[in-house]
Amino acid sequence: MKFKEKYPFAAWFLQRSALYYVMASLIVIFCIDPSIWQYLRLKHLEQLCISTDWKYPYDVINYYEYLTRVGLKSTDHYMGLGRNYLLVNEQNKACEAFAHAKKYATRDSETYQSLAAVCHDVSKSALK
Amino acid sequence: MIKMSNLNRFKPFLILLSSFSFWLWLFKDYFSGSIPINWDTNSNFLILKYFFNSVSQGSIPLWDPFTFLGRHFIYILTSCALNPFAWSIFLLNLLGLDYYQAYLIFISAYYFLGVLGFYYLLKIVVHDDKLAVLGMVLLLFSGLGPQVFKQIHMVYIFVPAVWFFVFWVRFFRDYRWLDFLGIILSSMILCISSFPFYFLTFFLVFNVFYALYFFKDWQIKCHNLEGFILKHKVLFVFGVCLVLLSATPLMLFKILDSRGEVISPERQHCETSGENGCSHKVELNYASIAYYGSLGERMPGGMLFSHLDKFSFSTDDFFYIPVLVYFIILISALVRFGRLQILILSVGLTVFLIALGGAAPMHAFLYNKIFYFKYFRNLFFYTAFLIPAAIFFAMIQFKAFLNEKNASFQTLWVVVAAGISLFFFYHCGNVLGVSYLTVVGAAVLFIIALKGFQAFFPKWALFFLCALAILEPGKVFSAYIDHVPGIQCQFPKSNSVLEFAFQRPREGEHEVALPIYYRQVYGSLRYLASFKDMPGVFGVMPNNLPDSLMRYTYELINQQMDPVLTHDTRHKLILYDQVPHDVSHALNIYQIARSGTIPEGNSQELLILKFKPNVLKLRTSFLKDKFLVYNDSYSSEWHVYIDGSEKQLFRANQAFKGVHVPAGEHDVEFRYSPPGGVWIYVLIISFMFLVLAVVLVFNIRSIQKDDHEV
Repeated sequence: MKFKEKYPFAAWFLQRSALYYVMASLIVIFCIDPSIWQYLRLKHLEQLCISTDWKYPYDVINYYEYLTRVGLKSTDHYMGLGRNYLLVNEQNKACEAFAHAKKYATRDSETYQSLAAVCHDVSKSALK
Repeated sequence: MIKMSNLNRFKPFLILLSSFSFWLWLFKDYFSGSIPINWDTNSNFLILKYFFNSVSQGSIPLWDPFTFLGRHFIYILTSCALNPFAWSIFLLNLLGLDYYQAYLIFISAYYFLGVLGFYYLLKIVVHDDKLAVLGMVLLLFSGLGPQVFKQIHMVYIFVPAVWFFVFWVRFFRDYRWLDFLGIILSSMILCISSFPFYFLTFFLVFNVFYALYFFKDWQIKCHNLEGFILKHKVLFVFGVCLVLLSATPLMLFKILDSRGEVISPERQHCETSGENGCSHKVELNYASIAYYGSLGERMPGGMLFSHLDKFSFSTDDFFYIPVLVYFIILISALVRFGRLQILILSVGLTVFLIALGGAAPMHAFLYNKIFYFKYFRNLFFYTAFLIPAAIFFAMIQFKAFLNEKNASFQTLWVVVAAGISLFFFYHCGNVLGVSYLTVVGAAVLFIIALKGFQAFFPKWALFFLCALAILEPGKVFSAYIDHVPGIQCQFPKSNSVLEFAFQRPREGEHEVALPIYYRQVYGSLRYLASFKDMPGVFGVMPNNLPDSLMRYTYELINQQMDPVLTHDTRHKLILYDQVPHDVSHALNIYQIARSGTIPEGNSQELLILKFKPNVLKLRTSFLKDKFLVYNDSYSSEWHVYIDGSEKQLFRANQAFKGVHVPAGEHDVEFRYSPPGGVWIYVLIISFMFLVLAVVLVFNIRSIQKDDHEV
């Protein structure tokens, strides 16, 4: 009996694109060193910000977003993100970033106090 | 009487024209001058401006006398100056446009030509005009579009490559001499456009996998090719010779490089090693290829779907594929996967892994095993193949999807795929609303088609699909343009006149077209394009190495220079007295001879007769024998003639040109004559125009003949 007749579903499945998509994805996953990729991408984004003196907000947003996405979360990163979102009039996203920044600040630190004030101001202006 | 067949033939062109008009409208700020071209498009413009401006004054430039104290004009190899289509810049300038306007028209039209080639390729392979049109629109509005204004080398690689494959597929179907000539023309353009190694890699990978998956077919094609060659021996030999001719400038540069006189300190071993001076090889060190400019550095992994409204003007990467492509690939997950799909997936995957550079092991392996992998960097240029390959793959999958018979199952899968996509976007965060809309719109359209609303689908489907295809890119590109910060940048745009300056300006003394500019790169090229000397004695900052200059000049400016030499180098010509005639070298002539006069302009003693990039001719009338030093970088390819007969050219004062000039009236001519001279370029340009004319004329005749038969 032919394979196709004996195992029709398996024969059908082996010809489906999804299987090849999965195989390709696995090859990519096994061949790539994600830490090197992250490092290269971070260096590139940081270099962009440096070359524009940290003045181009979208470059800075991309850099801090990538930092936080790869797990390098800190108050400074989220504060930088928040400030630059304010520069491009994205107040909701700025507040969200400041809210994240609060998580990484200690309660009795000056940073926390100033963060609380900043978020309060942003919320107030967002409500207007 | 208008034939329906003619109308049908022009429909895709109408869609293309309207899509292209919308594309031009999206990027109108470049054409109006509000936004300047950036990165390598900027430098390419300045190089081509220098080239065509020199040609308009009767000279094909092989030397650059204006920057870094004079250097070989290496950019003639990689700037597309020899491309017959690039000569439209020259023609448009003759018709009255300035170089900048002419350049913008050329690069846009050239990109348009590439997109048209992609349409033809899809049409030949997929056998479906509608899918070819859709693929063409998706490519037009992909990330390759903005690269026209940022990283033009990707377009220079993509356009001849796509036409190469058009002619390749047609040739191996019908074995016509005209398609063979088309392959030759594309190959010639690839050789002179940018480094051909990107295409070579893609082509080799393609052939390896083609032979693997279609072995019998590959054998038949090889056999038929052999038959074609035996039948058209003269044409075949002529074609191969033409391709070799086009590759000659690269080979000649390798010969030039082997003499060690041209170096690339930014790219080679200098920056990383502690050695004195740089390696003279054209080979680049591994780190500069694998870690800088690789796709691993440039591909926005988190930005394939999110933050698409935040592509930066400051960078030259723009890896963007419209979301409709991904959705089509997803809904096709349950269709049958044929050998053609396996081929494209394998080729795309391999090239992707190579392009990742240091983030994947493949490039390191190839760098060590295959020689030419050491000759080029900027692996992210492979985007020029990856984006079209992804869209090509999507169209083939889409065709398979449309041909599947189980409509109910497919409808269910479309709904599930749409749900997965929307959930994925929500999880990614920061995904544009138009991305959601595109997926929902496409899902509705596909379900309508699957449910068999035949009256609706055939007529309007293409229109709605194309509209969906440009919905997200319209938003992405609009946001990109809106977010460009206020930039003022001046370019040298009009014709400049070649005039010999007796002195180089001091730093800050003479600024040419001062820009206020983000990521200004290759600033020296602004001087080149204006035919003005770079200011400063050295023109090079120690921590800002140029990408190419002459070895002796580089070594000189890295030394602690003698103040006398520092002073003298500002002046283009120096005359020394009492120089022994039997001196075997003139390396430190300023120390062994008495400094004579420094000509500050034309005089009875010294008159400039002719100044071109490759030639300096002057008439001297000295009362005594002198040693003339021309403070322009020395190279063994420079020759000096006095009254028509060649004399010994000395390397004077470490890095410059020197010659003994006797008393009396003489014509002294310095001439730059690298291997091949200008004639090799004249031949290449002439033959390319000839082949292009033949391919165009006979293709048009062939189309007319087909029409007549219909």
